Amino acid sequence: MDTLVGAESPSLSSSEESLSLHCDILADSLFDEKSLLNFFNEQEQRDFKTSVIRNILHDRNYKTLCTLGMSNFGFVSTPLRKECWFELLSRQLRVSQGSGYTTNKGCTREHRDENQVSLDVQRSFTSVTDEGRKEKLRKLLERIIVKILRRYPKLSYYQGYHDVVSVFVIVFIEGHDYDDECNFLSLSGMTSKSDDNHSNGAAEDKSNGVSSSTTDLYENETTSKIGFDEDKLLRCVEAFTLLYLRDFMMDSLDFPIDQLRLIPEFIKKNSKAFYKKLNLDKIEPFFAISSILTVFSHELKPSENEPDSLIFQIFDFVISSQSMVVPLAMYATLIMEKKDTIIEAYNANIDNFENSVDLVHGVIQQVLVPTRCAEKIWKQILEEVRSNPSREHISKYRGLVNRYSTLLTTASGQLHTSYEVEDVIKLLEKEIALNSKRKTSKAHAKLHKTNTMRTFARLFSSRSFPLICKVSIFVGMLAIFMKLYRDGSIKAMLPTLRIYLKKYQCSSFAGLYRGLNYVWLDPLHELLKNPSLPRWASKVSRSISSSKDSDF
Amino acid sequence: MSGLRTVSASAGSGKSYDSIMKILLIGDSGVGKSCLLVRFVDDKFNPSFITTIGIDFKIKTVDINGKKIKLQLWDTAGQERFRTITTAYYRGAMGIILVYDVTDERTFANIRQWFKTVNEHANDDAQLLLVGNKSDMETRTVTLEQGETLAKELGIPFVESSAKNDDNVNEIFFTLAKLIQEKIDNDKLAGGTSGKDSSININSGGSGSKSGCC
Repeated sequence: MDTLVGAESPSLSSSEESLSLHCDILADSLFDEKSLLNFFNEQEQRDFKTSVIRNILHDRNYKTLCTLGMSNFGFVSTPLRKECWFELLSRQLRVSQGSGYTTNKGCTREHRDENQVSLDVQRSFTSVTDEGRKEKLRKLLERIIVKILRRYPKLSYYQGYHDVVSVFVIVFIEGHDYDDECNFLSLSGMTSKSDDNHSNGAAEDKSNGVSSSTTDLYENETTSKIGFDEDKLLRCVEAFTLLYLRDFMMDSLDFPIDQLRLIPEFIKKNSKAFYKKLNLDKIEPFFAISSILTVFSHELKPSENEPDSLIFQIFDFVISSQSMVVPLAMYATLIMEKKDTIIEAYNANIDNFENSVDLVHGVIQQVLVPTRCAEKIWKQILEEVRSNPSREHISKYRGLVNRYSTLLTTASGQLHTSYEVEDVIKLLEKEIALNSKRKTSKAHAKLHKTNTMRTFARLFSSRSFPLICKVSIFVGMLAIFMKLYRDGSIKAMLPTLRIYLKKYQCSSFAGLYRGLNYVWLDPLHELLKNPSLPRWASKVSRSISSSKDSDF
Repeated sequence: MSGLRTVSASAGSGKSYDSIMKILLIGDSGVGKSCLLVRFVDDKFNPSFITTIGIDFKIKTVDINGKKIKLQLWDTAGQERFRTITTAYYRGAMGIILVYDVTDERTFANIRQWFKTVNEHANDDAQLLLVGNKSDMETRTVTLEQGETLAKELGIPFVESSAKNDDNVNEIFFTLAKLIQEKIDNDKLAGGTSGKDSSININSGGSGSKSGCC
């Protein structure tokens, strides 16, 4: 942090340099809870932070901006927030001009999920009371989502993505006078056209309008903008989607479900008894799915003219810390915060539910729903995460998520890393391939449940199979085990096996049988990849030692 | 299973109900599952009700034949990808409501798929009900007869409803609750089953761990 200003902007004049250096040092400590600044009232603190952020933005001091985003008040106000998000996200995902993805912008082919998008968009911005404005916000939301999907057709849309994008829409549109129809709608060629067709603004006609003029609706990336900058908005959504939400946009929800499993792990670290009490060792944490998929924007709906709304500050934090572990940690913190109430409700309802999946879901929902409105609890959670930023080192839980996951790559909490869009696309493609592999092997496992076991059983029980063969197979297997045992590689394998078994246990409880292939296939996979056993053994033990402290 | 729950609930420390029924709403995205539920539970209607992500849960206590019955209502996300999650909640559902939108043929055609999913994941004795929602709309593409024919074919009762006009909404839940209650009573009369049921119920908490370790 200290040497950074000079390194970042060597051309600064000395006075500017000292000012930004000043900001830099200030930013580090001033805006946390226990700072001296608390002598001033909140408004004064805000004003001060605003001017500090302006300076930092002016200097394009990326690292300090991150620090500021993570501290109290986040990026303070909507106009600043917009600039900061753009500054950070465009830095995190670099789109070089002339790269394949800028020319690909005009992709016009309809995305397979557009129907679902329009269904969800029709149900967005419900808190906006002005019908006309609501309609416009929805149009913009739909346009942004469709543009992203068409630009990256490999991404799949999920319900909840529209909630995330609506946060960006609200931040970027606020303060712009969009009563002026022309101003708002001439943003990208397409709308003026569709607006002519539907001057009465009937919502039912909207989808028709979109599909009838699809070919030119989304292809025009107009460069001149009046009012707000849609390009900036699009860039932000694009970066956030690719770097932070990639896991969620596969063909299935397997990867986000993997992510959810970190929540029980965090809870377990805090209180093993509570973890056991909620049966989190046996059930899937599906109760958290909407919070995680939407980074809490499903629960905490964004609305205009509320710059202090905690949802914005949560996004400030996530973007500044470049971490998707944050929402998971926040959820775990929230559960821990409500521990006593949850236990109480659990005990009171133990007879009211059919099974523990229902019970835990019902109880947690019952306890958390009132917190949706309670600013206080969210503030507290945010403060807690702020004062203890992602100490949860994701590497400990490496085994729980796929190796291309956002949690391990583009949103791992490793600050100040930036990616070229091409590299992220490669990551995305690898992740998609892994996902479909997993999907097919799951389907296969479903079709041929316990086939191997049954074959073995049949083999050994069948009379036609000579005894001598049975014995020799037995002896052979024994020999392999002896060899592995003497190598010490069995011992080394145990922790990994435990992780896989745990995974299997979780899923089998929910009737998913997902882990099945992984329990046995993966160690074998390793074995086949590295035919020389000693090397393999050392590799495994190396990977074990890194995950040893994870306390599984 | 439900039979015992009735007993244990009333035997419990002064509970305010006689029994609990777990009911699930399923069907394609946008057919109005949440709207039906909100109409029934809160007697409200909002045409742009929010999207359900994952699974949502509500409770309403109703009076059926003088018995206080607590309905545990589970609302599910319609998008196909959420099925991995929502099917985890099918277990133990006593009633399942399959909803389609009378103005959208696709949602009607998909009912067969939903029916299949139910057969794969739900208890065999779950009581099903087919609902054609948005019956108030003039843009209907699925006729009442089509709905009736499908229901007959699947062997389940059928209702058309409108959450907007509050047509037949209460009927959906009351019909289903009554059917479930009848089933419970019949099982009780048949006797013998209650013993079997109780053993299931006692273990229901631990059944998870059982399946987890093998």
